[in-house]
Amino acid sequence: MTDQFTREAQAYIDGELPACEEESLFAALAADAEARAYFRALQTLRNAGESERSRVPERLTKRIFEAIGADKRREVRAARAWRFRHAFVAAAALLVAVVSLWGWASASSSARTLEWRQERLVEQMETQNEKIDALLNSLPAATVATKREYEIIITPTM
Amino acid sequence: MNDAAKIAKFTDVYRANIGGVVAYARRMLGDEAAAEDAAQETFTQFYKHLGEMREEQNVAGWIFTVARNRVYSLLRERRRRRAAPLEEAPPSDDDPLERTAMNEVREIVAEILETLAPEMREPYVLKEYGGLSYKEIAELMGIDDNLVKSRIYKTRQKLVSRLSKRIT
Repeated sequence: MTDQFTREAQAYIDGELPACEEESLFAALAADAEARAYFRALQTLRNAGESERSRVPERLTKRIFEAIGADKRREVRAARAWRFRHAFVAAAALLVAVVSLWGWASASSSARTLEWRQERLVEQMETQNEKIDALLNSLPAATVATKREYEIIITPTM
Repeated sequence: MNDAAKIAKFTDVYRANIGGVVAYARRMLGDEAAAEDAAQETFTQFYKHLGEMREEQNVAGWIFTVARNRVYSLLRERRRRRAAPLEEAPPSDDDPLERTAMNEVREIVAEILETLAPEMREPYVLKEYGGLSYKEIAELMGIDDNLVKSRIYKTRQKLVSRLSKRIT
């Protein structure tokens, strides 16, 4: 059994022997009992590896999938907490916006009311002035005296 | 990737690689419980990072990298604690082949492997138990392909020689 044979045999077992070199390997196997024993030993090692690979205890699979499930549950809880935090922040922001809008609207309404009252007062004063003018023109003799602001006393002189 | 797709992908990768990962960890650590811990850690890490993986990424390479890091971390811890000789793996409760000839061979191989230096044992274990290619092993270990091939060759020669003596 040559060194070349052992290398070719190992490469063949590993699936890395080029097809063109297989012929010399098979010729050596056919001719040499020692080579065949060596090749069988390689196959035994390969089978031992495969047998080892198939030994996956069920408890391990169960443990791993349980751990994944626990991770998944943690993820769901974290996502829920994240959503809750964001919903809370959004609600708080909305509340602040509503309060601000209400404050602005309320201030704006007060300004408008004040303006309206001023306008009404001016209108009232104009109406009173017109009435005073009318009285002065219609009554031949009357004393018109302003006692207080916006309060007028008209006394006919008989 | 939605949850259902993630679980389906995880299950496919798990089925394809769990045997190799646990066998690799078992042969490197020589301890069933530690091997199972390493495998669990590897696959939970894989699940966490599954969403970040690219389509073209070598998943087996990624998994064995994590498994190898975990195995080496356990070996370092063990060295630090100067642990007592390793415990025998407990008999598997779900393996009906426990008393067959193959199990005997497997145990002999495991015993022989434990006597080898880790740098000689590891490429062989990754090849024969992990099912990785020479190239993948070279990338994983950060060494040349030819060195991987040469170490596997030498380890096999020793195993064949010792196995023949033990069996005959």
